[in-house]
This record gives sequence, structure tokens and C-alpha cells, in this order.
Amino acid sequence: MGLGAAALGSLLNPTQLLGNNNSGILGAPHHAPKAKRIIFLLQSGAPSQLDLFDYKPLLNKMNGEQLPDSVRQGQRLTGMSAGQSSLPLAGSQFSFKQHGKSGAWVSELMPHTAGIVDDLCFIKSMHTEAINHDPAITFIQTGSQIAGRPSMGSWLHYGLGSDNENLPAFIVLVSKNKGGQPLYARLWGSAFLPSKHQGVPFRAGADPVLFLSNPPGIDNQDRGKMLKYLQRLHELELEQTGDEELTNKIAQYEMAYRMQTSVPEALDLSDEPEWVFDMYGPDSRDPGSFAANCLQARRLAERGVKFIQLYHQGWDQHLKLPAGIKVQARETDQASAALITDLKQRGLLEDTLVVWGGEFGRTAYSQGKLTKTDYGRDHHPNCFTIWMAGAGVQAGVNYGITDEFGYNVVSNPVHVHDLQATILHLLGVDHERLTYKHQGRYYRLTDVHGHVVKPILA
Amino acid sequence: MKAERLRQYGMAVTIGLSLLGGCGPRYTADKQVLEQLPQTVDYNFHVQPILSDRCYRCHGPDENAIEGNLQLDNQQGLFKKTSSGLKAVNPGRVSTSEIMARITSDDPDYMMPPPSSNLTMTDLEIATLAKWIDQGAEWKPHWSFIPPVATDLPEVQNTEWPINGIDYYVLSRMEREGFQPKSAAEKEILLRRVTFDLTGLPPTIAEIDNFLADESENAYEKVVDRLLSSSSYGENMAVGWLDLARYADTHGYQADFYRPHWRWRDWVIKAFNHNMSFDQFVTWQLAGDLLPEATKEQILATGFNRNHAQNNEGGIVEEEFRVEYVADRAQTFGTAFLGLTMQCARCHDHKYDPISQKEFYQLFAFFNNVDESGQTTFYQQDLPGPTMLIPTETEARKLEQLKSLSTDKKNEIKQYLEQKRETWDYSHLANIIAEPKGLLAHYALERPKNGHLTNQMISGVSGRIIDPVNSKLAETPPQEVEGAIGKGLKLSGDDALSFPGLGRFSRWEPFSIGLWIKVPPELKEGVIFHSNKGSALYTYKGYQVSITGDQLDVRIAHNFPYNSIHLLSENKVPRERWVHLMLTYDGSSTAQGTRLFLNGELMATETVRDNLFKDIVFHPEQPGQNPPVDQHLKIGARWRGKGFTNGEVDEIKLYSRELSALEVKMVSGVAIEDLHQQHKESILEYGLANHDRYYQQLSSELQAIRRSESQLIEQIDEVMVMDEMKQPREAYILERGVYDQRGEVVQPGTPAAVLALNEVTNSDRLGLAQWLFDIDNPLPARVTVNRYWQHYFGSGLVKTADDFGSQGERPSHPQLLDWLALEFIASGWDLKQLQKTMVMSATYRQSSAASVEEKKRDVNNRLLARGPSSRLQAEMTRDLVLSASGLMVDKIGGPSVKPYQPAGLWSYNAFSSKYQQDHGDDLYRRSLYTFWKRTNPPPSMNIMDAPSRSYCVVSREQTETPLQALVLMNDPQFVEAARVLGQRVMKEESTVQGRITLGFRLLTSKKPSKPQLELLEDQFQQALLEAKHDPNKTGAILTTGEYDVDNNLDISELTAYAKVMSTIMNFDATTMKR
Repeated sequence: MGLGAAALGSLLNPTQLLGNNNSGILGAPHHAPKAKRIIFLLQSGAPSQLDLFDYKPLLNKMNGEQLPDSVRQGQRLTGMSAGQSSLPLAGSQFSFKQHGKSGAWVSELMPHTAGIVDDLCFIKSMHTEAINHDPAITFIQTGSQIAGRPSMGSWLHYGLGSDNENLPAFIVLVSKNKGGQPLYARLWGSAFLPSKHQGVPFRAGADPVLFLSNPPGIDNQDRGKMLKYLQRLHELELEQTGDEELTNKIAQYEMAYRMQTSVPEALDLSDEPEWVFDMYGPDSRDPGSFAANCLQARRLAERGVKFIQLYHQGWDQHLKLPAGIKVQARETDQASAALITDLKQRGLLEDTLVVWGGEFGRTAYSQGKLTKTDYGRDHHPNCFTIWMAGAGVQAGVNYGITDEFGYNVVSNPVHVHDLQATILHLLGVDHERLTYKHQGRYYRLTDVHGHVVKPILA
Repeated sequence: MKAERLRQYGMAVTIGLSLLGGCGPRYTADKQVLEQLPQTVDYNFHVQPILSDRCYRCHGPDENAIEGNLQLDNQQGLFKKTSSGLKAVNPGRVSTSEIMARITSDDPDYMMPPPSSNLTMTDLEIATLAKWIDQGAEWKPHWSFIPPVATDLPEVQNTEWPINGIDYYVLSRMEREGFQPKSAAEKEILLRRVTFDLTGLPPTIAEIDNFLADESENAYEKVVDRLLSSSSYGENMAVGWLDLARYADTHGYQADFYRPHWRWRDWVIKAFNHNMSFDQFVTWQLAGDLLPEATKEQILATGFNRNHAQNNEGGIVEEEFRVEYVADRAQTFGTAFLGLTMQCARCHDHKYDPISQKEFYQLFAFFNNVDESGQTTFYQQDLPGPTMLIPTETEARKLEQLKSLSTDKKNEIKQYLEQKRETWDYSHLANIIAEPKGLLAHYALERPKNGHLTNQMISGVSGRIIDPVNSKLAETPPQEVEGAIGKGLKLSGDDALSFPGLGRFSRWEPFSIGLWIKVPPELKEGVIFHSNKGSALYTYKGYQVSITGDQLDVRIAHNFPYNSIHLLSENKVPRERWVHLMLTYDGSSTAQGTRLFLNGELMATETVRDNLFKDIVFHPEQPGQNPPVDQHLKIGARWRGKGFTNGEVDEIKLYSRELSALEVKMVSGVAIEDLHQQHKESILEYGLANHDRYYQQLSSELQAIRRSESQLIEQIDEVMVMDEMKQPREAYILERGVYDQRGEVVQPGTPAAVLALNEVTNSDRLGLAQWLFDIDNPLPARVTVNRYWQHYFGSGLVKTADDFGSQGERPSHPQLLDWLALEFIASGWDLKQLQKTMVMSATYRQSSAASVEEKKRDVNNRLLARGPSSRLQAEMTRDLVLSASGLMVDKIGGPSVKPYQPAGLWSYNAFSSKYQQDHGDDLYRRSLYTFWKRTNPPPSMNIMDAPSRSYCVVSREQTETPLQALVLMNDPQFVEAARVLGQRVMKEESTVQGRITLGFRLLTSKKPSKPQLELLEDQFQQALLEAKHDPNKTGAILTTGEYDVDNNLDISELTAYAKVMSTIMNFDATTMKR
């Protein structure tokens, strides 16, 4: 039962409470958006581009030889491999093949992704500034390496508002039990933007949003009754004081009550047919897994959630890369590909942007000893590969080229700020014009940098 | 046409002319706009905000970003001739002022601001500039840089209303703008407001009743005095200070480990409660360590500047983050005390305020002289230095005793030595033995088998050649070479000779380690031997001898750099030949007791650091280390650091004693007969150590005392503080703000536009504190009174409490701000007096109720024609329900506590320990004691707008979201409080009405109205009926939380009351402060 909705309907705009002002601060986008929403599949820890997408046969030929100084060019290394007396090049142990009409190279680790390359736009020339996880993931999420700036989702929420009045506009899903490099609340935090713009983590289990569930002994009906009394109490106060702010308070509770139904409904997979689970893979039946989260992401996209942020930890293969990356690829490959296919089948890919990638790349040389069967790779900011798909992005494209060592970008570099500018552009936002005045300065996601990567736009 | 209109509304003709002569008609100053213009246009209040926001980015203080050679931020620039021949601003002549032509143009190549800037100017802004020029364009320095000016209290018509000075200023503006003040708030509402504002807690029923009953004239003042002297006052004041000081219980960044820093918080609470004067309060925090004969308390206060986040992520570039910490201190200083955005001058000159990049780094230079590490330790038990020990009284007493025992013992040894020096038989050397006593191990390194190194000592520990990355046997054995004696090994720098179980020494244990080495010509950096783990990752805990450049680098460290002994050899290390190297250490924790010998000769060394006061071993038995660190001697390589690449080693010997100089010579191969020629002192040293039982006994007694002392100190709490390096670190302008792009060297200094640093002032943090509170400094008093004003009125007189610069808001009541600032200074920076003045004012006591029309006239209450109202902040909301239910545990200070928190929140961080929820009293402490994890702050507080505590914040946001409603309805802390409150009212009152009224009063401080009471009674009866009819549900709500249910009470009734109390808890009158 909608709690007094009729009586209050004229008074409220409940969307404003979740910060879901339909139009956001911009009122309307700066230009016609190609994407209405975004699903960001952040692969935390930094997947090795050299073992997944950026095929470098020269590394296999020169396996064990030293990284030439002419390639490294004095590039700073992390304290984890800077002490090594040798930086032996490490060829990938995984075989690569070209796929699809686009002829994209994909290694054997990603068979499902290989099957959808013609829907994807690979950017092989990504580069960043940070060489360590905390600053790098903070950078790709907030445009700054140091805590204190709003996350991309918060910016978009602030600028564009929401398309669903019953769900938060910015939702975060983290693969469970992964360990690996930590995640931080600041990655979906709103920093100096009002806190209603921060991402809301949805968690697997009984209480998907913090404090969403009623305490023991209170069911939905009880809550409804209690809220009726509360509403009446507020109305009495309103009658007495004429304080209009009370209508806001009433709306706040109405919205909370609606969320108590709409969130579990959005997350309830019981109406998904068998073939959907089959498509996303067996993990998709395990709540909280990456595959289940991908399926949830599609459901949230269907419901008009603006920014759906997934995190999958565990890509930080400093040592024993071949064993570690296999597990990671197995956990993510099928579901990532299924998400694209699923969105496409439902016509959602047309206005949904999907981004897959980590916070930086990994080194062409081995961290630790290179053996016949084993190697590790350290952090590498100079180049890494991500892919994008969907709304407004060209499909079947390979953009940017790295050198034969997979160490430096040789053409069409894409800086993290460029990626951010491009994502905003696809959502109809000019990254230079979505600003917030804080401490005297007009801040923006891309700081004072960033260029839209026009060649990849459809 | 426009000229016509302008004339019509009383503007000078010249404006119109200029507009016609401009480069395009864009300007339509209609009546509405003109009506909004102030009578007299003031540069500071009306003009500069426009110029700053729209022009300064290219025509402002940043010397390197000036377009068209035009600066509009200073007097010279504004009135200068531009390239067009016109002055930028021609006073009185709008038509010949270049800026007017530009801002009214619509030619994209000519107009200002240019389209590419994404900035525009409104008609009102254009008209404002025009009128200012027309009125003669009077220029003034930026308002906040002019020292506060004393004014007479303004005349007011309604002389009945004002209570103190504040009210005259406020009323004067109200009257000017046609407003009337509100009458005083109802007593209960006022009492609730002032009690929350001063103590963060609600008034008790007795306090409400007393106040209601007290009809004396000073009834309210008595309340204020009572509240100001209650200890809850200090706790409440601390909350805002913790935001400002970015206090948290964890380090932040990647691993985000625990940091016990609560003693500093305790000090803050205490300082507020003792009403320490604000200048002293801040001086101690900035420079307590530099005060003459600084006390422990003064040093503890400096923990303020250690509150920033610190990074221990493996592999980071050390200097990058050290610079970040120093910049954070400078930024915090700017925001908190100057209300300036100093950080905007970190990469280039400030775009808006007269702060050059050089001045940022001059301020930076004050905070740069801390012997700290940018990469802090990954060992959870250790606190990043500088630190100070905080012994309990018992510990302090024991420590004193041990110190004096140790001194006595050293004197005794010295005296014995003196005595023996006279009587010793120096010719008697027959007892010299080839091998000194105490040998623990000897590795000749002859033909290692399967990576194993044989110990020449029978039943000694054998070594292994390992890859320190994974501690597995190295795949490639080191090359066998001609050694110093027999064969030796040539090392790769990546594989280490490792001796598990050997060489884990505490700082009280003497030891000696010697070996032959051959240093390759090219090696610039590499470790020879060590007992560290991961070098910088664990801040060199243990001992090491390495090569740094051409020097030998000795470190014996608890936590490098601060807590360590650090020596550098004065002479270059010989290369390409075998030399014998020996480190001896006497267990004294001093540089003096640490000696390095080359070929048997003592090396001259420079003492870089001599400050070892905690142990140098990992404690594997302590929690949090998984797996425990196996600390032992390793040679030639280390995990995460450079090794002895291509270096050769041979004949490793390790002793459990400090060898005497004579013995070192023996070990290094100097022939015995040559030893006979030794100086008497060496012979005495050797003889006593080896042949004098009494001397040996004294030595071992001293060692036992040192051991006790060390073990005691390991137990003593430690706290991070500031400690000035004796030799200040060089500070530079960092180009583009990048840590390694060093430009010009800078000396400590202050922004000249605010106030130049007095020449007689010390250029250290104490000097900076003195500068801050210099009577001529225009900012700190204003900034501080404004922040407290914000606390009481919801918003500062300057709304941007963190920005008093050009881009900040102008004060709503500038003369009041100055009056408060001057009163504050005159009172001796007395915070309680300042706040008493605020809450005693009629302005503060006004009712906050206002009609829709009244609110519309002044949405943000800038005129203060009504009382303040706001949502209770996160801490107050939780403390209210704890207090109302009687759950609140009234205890001040101590370590942070972990109340209820949904499971799994910390699992995003695999380095974090699990959230171990506390029990009993610790569930019910005031919220300022709730454990604050930076990367994952307490969720309910986060939802209720508490900041992340990662950086200095002086104003909290206020938002309304349904998530807040969910907290109040469902967070176990609130559900439990509701049912315990139900229990309380059942016990304290006997009727339904009485019980509901009591609960209502405890939460809202007022009595319910008749209809409200009836409504809640109805809810109670309904709930009771349901409870009785549905036994399954009855009592279920009572299972939330750990507090005991009183089984003597009727469970159905209690269930029903719990629901009613929860309803009231969610009521506006509970959650709002009005």
C-alpha cells in the first residue's frame, strides 16, 4: 500500500530526496546523450594487458632478455621491483588469436570475450600517472590521486539526476570474498558534493542496502502502520507550525518505505529464466559473485539506474601471474560477455555504456624471478588496455597502439582524464562545464585536463 | 535605446554611451536589474567578487598565467592603460573603461569573459561594475586582509530588544532592511537548543523542569553557565575540532591500519573543558614541542599535525608521499586558521588570492622539518615517527628506577675500569686466543651444497641460499670465486645467503657481525647484510650495513628514520679488493656503542641519527602479523630493495658479544704478534672482557638492566607527535606541485598579503604560531569567531568558513564580525566567553519558527531575523537516543570503541582486521568515541553527513535522504535505544499517557500536544492489541541489541512501547534542533 501517496502527492517530489532530482544540476544535458546510463566493471588490482588483450610476440622471442634502457627511458618503477638487479622480459604464456570481423587479439584466457569482440571497442593506449593501487584507483574513479574529490558516479548523479525515483541513481556492487587490493568508500564517495550524491553499496544477502531491513518483529505491514502514525504526527506538527520543511520529512519516510520494497524487488533474481543464468555462467546463481553482480547490473540498468559501479578485486599478479590470472579470467570473462549480449538482446546496449578495465597496466618484465613456467608483473602506468561497449561507442574497434614491448604508447594515447571526459561526453555532459565551486575553485572530474576521444565515438 | 533606459533609472549618461560605443549590444539593464543595485557600490563587497570569479583566472594574481598583460586583482593593474589605449578601469568614465567595452560585447573574439572560459556575466554584474566605475571606482585592499576595525555599537530603533553587542549589529541591519526580530523561543525549545549546542546532549527532564520553574531574571544565564562548566561541553567542542584536525583512528590510504591517537583527542577535550585560551590551544598544537622546556602535554598537543593520513602501500615513492603529508599540514593550517585556500597555490600562483606558489612552499617549509618517512611501516604495531612514549605513572616510576640503575651500573663499570687501568698487567698477553669468545656461527662459504651453507660451528645453524621474494631455495647458485680465505661467493644481488634462526638481536643485546667483502666498481646502492624485512616496507626494522653511493650505511632501527641509529662512513668504501668489514654493537642503543671496522681499523663515521628508543625486533607473538616475521641475518640481497649485485663475500662470522677492537683485528686477520704492539687501552678492553670475571659480571648486570628497560618500554603506549629536526630540511618550490620537480630553494615564510613574517620571529613552527596570533594578523580571530558563529547559527557570518579569500562569500555583518573578533582578542582568546556572548544574545534566543513568506524573504536566514534551526548532526542524533533511553555511558576519553555495525563492511579491505564489535559499556559511549576508519567510516554517521576525516573540513554538509530515515528506523543502535527507552518509561511512569509523555519529553524536550498524545496512545493500543494477538511477534523487537530486557515487565506492553518510542525517535521534533 502506497503510504498516503494520494494525500501527499501534490506536496512532494520524492526523487529529490535520493538526490534524484530528475534533471540534476544541469537541468538538461549539455548535448544529446548517447548513453543514458553506465555500467563500469572495474577490475581492481590491474589486469595484465599483456596476457589478455595486448599481444606482444616480441616478448616471447626475447623472453628472459633484459628490458632495454631505450624502452624504459628512465621510467620510475615501484619500490617492489626497483631493487631487482635484473628486469627480464616475460612473454605471455597464453596463446593469442584474432577474433571476429575486427580481428581483435584476445588470449585464450578470455574465450567468451573473444566471442563478442565485434561489439567492443578496445583502447590499448590507456595510460595513467600513478604507479600504486591506492592513488591509481582513486585517480580513475575521482580524477585525483589523493582522497578529496567526488567520484565519477557522484559527478554524474549531481549533474544528471536520476531516471528512477525508487532506487538510488548511483549503485555499487562489489564481488564478495575476493581479498586482493582494498577498496575504499572514497571511490564512490561524494567528497565535497552533497552526500546524497554518494554511491550506495548494494550488498549480497538479507540487508542489501544498509539498514534497509526492518528489525525482528517488524514486518512490512507493521512498518507501514508505524509510518502512518509518524506521518500523522508530522501532519499535526505541520498544521500547528505551518513549517513546510515537514513535507520534506514526510516524503523522506515515504521514499524510505518505497525503497524497502523496490530494492529487494530489483535484486530478486527468482524471475530470471534458466537460460539467463546459463548465459552468465554458474557463478551467477551465487549471490555476490561477479557473475551475479553482472546480472544485477543488467536489472538495475533496466530500472534506469544511472551509474552502476562493479568492482572485482584480485588482479594484482606481482608473482605467480599465470596461476592467478586464470582464476580472475574465469571469474569475469563469461559474465562480462554475457552482460553485453544480454543488454544487446534487450535493446539496452543502445543507450547503456559498459566499461571494463583496471587502474593501470602491468610490466613487460618479470617482477621476481622469471622461470620456464612462472613470472610476475609489477605495476605499469605507461600503458594498459580497457574495453568499452554500447551507447555511442564504435563497435569492433581497436584504438591506440603500444610499442613491440607493450611498454609505451606509440599512437593515440588515452589518458585517464581523457577516458573520463569521453564517458561524460557520451552521457551528454561537457566535462569542462560540469563544475562545483568549492573553496573558491570550480572543481571538475577531469581537473584541468582531459579531451574527448572522438575517433572512438560512433 | 539602452542609454535611454539607463538614464530613465537614474544612471549616469556615460554608462549608456559606453554601451553604445562597445562592440555589440548584449546588455539590457532593465528596471529590475537597476533596482537591485546597491546605493553605493563597494569594491570589496560588490565588485571584487565579480572580478575574482570571472576575470582573475586570466587576469589575476597568478604571475605565470596573465593574458593580455592585464592584472585586475591589484590597484595598479586595474587602473592601468591597456593595449587599446584605454584604461582597464577609468574612474568615473564608464565609456572609456576597457573592461566595460569587453564585458558588454558579444563579439566572440573581443568579449570577456571569452566563450572558451565557460564563464558569463549577468546583467546585474555588468551594471554593478558600471555603477562602481561611475561612482569613481574606489579601490580597497581585500576586506579580510584589512585588520578588524572597532566600531561603536550601531543605533537601533527597538532599544528594548538587544541584550548584548551582537544584537545591535544584527538589529541594525534588520531595521535597515525592514525586518523585525522574532520573540524568544519557547523555554523548552531554547533549553534544548542551547543544551545541544553547548554539550551535544539533550537536557534531562529535571533540567527542563528546573528551567521551566525558574522565573528569575538570570534563569537562562544560569543554564548557560552550568552547561559551559559541564564536562560534556569539552566533548561537544571536540567534535568540530576533530573534523578540522582530520582526526581518525586509522592511517588511511591502502592498508588503513589502526593508529592509537586517542590521547591527543583526550587532550583536546581536556583543553576545551579547562577553557585553555585559544591562542595557547593552537600554539601548543602547532609548536608545543618547540616551547621552552616543553612538557609532555605540550608535545602531545602537536599530535594535531600528525592526524593526516599516512601511506604504507608497498612500492610507493617515499618522497611523493612525504611531500603530501607536509602539504596537508600547510593546507590544514591555511583552512583552519587563516580561512585561506593555500593549497590552490601548490602547483602555480593562486588564481584568485595574492598568494604566490613560492609563499605556499614557504609555509610548507615550516612543516617540512620532521624526521619522517613518506612510506610508513607495514608493521601494525609500530607508529610512524616522530613519536613520544606515554608511560603510566607506574611505568614512569619503573622507568626512572631502571634509568638510575643503569646510570649507577655504568658508573660502577667506569670506576672499575679506571681502577683496573692503573693496575692491569699490560705485558700479560699469553691468554690471547685466536678466536674471540661468543662465536655463534662461522660460514667459510666453501662449496655450498644444494644451496646450503655449512656452519663451521658444531651443531650450529646452517644457512641457505634463497630468493628473498619467496624464501625458496635460489634456482641459480651463486658463482664460486677465489675468496679472501679459500673460496668465496659472488652474489647476484637478487638471491640472499639466509640464516634462519640466527641473528635476531634485540637492542639490548650486544653482537658483532664480520665478513670479507669485495665491492664491485659500479655498485651505487645495495645491502651487504641485514635483518630487515622488505626494507622501506617495514622501515628497516632490525640492523643493516649497506652501500649508499660510496659510503657504508649502518642502520639499527626500530622504525627508520625517526627511531633509529644511523651512521655513514666518512671515507669511501674500497672497491675491487677484499676487505674485512665488521659491525660491533654494545647493546646500549646509542651511536657511540655502534662501531664499524674496516680491515680491523675503526672507521670514522658521521652520526646521522642517534635516537633508538624502542626494540629492533618484530614480535611474532603479537597479533596482526600473518605469517609472523622470521627475522634473521641475510647477506647480499633483500626483499624489495637493492642487493650486493656482483659483490663477493667470504668468511661470515657472527658473535653474541661486542668484540673489542683487539678482537676485531684478530678476526680480520691481523697477526697476533702485531697485536702485542697495541695500545694499552685496547689490551685493557680485551683483557677485561675476556679475563676479568668481575668485569664480565658487571657487564652482564648492565645488560640485564637494559633488557628490563627495553621490555618495559615495549609495553608503554606511544603517540605520534611533531619533533623538529636539528638541521632543517631544505624546502623548494615544487614545479607544477610535482614532488621531484625541485625549483628554487625557499626559506620559511608567510603570505605577505596577510602579514609578513616579523624579522625577529624564529623561522620555525613556534615562530609561525606567534605570527598567527600577532595582533596585526587580520585573519585568525575573524576566522575563529566565524567558525563558532557557524556552530550556533548554522552558517557563518562569512558563509564560506573555509574561504575568506576573493572567491569566498563576503560577511553578512562585517562590523559584527570585527566586533566579535576584537572582543575575542581582548578577552585573551577566551572561548567560553566568546560562546557565552553568542548564546546569551537575543539573536540566538529568537524563535526559529517562521511563516512561508518570512522564509521566502530570507531563505538562508542571512539577516538573522529568526532563530537557528537545523538537523541534529550525526553524533548528536545518536547521543540523543542513548541519553534519552538511559543507555549512555558517562565516561570521558580513552580509546575509541566499536559499537554495532553491519557485518562485512570492512571486508572490502583484505588488509583490515575484521570489525570486532565491542560489548557492554562500549556500545553506549558518546559518538565522538566511535572508532573512525578512514577508508570505511562508521556507516550511520557517514549517512548523516559526517565528513570522511581524510582532510580538514570546517563545515559539514546537510542533506536529507531516505537512507537517514532507514538509520533511525532500523539501525540496531536506534532500535535498541527505542526498546530500552520503552523499558525506562514503563518503570518511571505508571499510566500510558504518563509513559508516552515521558518518552516524548526525553526525545524532544517538550510535552506532546493533546492530539499528538492521543495519536501516540492510539498507536500504543493498536500495537498492544497486535502484540497480544500475535505471540510470535511479541518480544521479537526486544531481541535487538545486547542490553538486557527487564523480564519483570509485561512483554506485550514493552513491545508496544518500543514501537511508539521508535515512532517518536523518527519525529521531526526529535531529529531537528529548532
